[in-house]
Amino acid sequence: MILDKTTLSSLGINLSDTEAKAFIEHFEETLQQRVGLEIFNLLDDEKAQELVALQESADEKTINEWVKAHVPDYEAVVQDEFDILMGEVADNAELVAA
Amino acid sequence: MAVETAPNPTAYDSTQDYNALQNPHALRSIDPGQEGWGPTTEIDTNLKPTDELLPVVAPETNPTEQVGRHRVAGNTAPDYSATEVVNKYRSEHAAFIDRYHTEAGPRNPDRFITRMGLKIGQFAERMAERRTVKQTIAETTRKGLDIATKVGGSIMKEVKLLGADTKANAKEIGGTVKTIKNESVEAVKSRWQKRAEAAQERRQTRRQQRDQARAELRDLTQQRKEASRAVWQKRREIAGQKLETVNKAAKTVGKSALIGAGVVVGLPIAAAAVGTYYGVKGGVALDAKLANLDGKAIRGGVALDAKLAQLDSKVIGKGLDLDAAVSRWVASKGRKAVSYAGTTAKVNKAAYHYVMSGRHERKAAEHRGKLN
Repeated sequence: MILDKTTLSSLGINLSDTEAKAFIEHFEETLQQRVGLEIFNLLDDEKAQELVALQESADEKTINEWVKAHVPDYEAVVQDEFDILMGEVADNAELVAA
Repeated sequence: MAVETAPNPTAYDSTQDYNALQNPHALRSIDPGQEGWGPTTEIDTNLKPTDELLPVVAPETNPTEQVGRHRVAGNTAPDYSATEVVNKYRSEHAAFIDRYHTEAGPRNPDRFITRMGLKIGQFAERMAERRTVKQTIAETTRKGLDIATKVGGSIMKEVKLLGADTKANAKEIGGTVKTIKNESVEAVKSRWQKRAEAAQERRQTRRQQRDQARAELRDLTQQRKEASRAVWQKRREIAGQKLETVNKAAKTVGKSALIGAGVVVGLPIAAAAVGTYYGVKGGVALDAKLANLDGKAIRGGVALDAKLAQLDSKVIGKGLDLDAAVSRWVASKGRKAVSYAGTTAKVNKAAYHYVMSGRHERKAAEHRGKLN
């Protein structure tokens, strides 16, 4: 996983294995959500509707090909959302660790 | 004994009691010896509007004397006049009475109940609607987030931020888990915070570019619409100008000039208009010619008629009635004479000469003599 217990520790967040696992899962889900929302935000209404319809019927490969075609800088989107979320974790490290 | 007199609209038919409060004579409606509802002889100053009213029994004896006076059955306490009861009740429960007046109108507490019932019903309905709306929004939002999460997760796998081998690939992508030995917690936090700030700036730039692109698209669409509108406007203007030219030409140089000019060919609207105009103009011209022709014909006719008239007048001027003469001559000669004459002209001529010779009178006389 992209975020692990070591990374959390480097931010001063020392959690038990169970807590760390739950937090990382929450982190990943949040990140996936934000990446998806940002991708939708970058699409016009017509394309967004198209993607909604596609994700209901197509497999991941098809969805990814579609996103690549319509959001050329999708990798940068993912990277930035990850960095932003990590920044938020850093900002709230003490609360998370408490 | 505490006697409760406050009407409880939810527990009984309060109309009667309320009417009694408003009009003490309403107490007469309680038949002697029967249970009824109404203000009683004792007033509990601690009454609440929601207290339940107890039944009272009207006096069994001397009902006439007891009119306007009331007591609870079995109660030996001094009676009070209904007016006193009402006044005291009013003074003690002014707020409650006022509420009846203000919210339900006088003497109709049931209406208040009804209205409250409706209000409650409407309120419940609206709340249900709101719940439905909120639920719909929540479900929609949840669904939207689920979709976003699914798409985001799929893309993250694509860039290998998630999955079995993500750790190694993640380092390649952004070095996001790269750590520096002996780096302090604050330093790590600061590093992530700076990265986050830079990422937010990029995200902001990306969104601005998206907004700009959308705005440009809107502008372009608008420009195309305006350009299209301008083209049509220009076409209409040109058509209008050509039509105007045609009209002017038609008015000034006439039909032949129009044909010679050969205008508005290939411009359907104008051509149609010109065709109409042309037709009208031609029609007018034709009509005019016909009119002229008619005029000439008429004039000719008039002239002809005049000539005939002159001829007639000449004939008449000689004191001869040609028609009468001819008729007489034809009559005198009979069908054979006509047949002999061959033509009307000859007949006319023969008749003329016959008349002019004066013989017709003689012949006519002879003919009359024969007839006689």
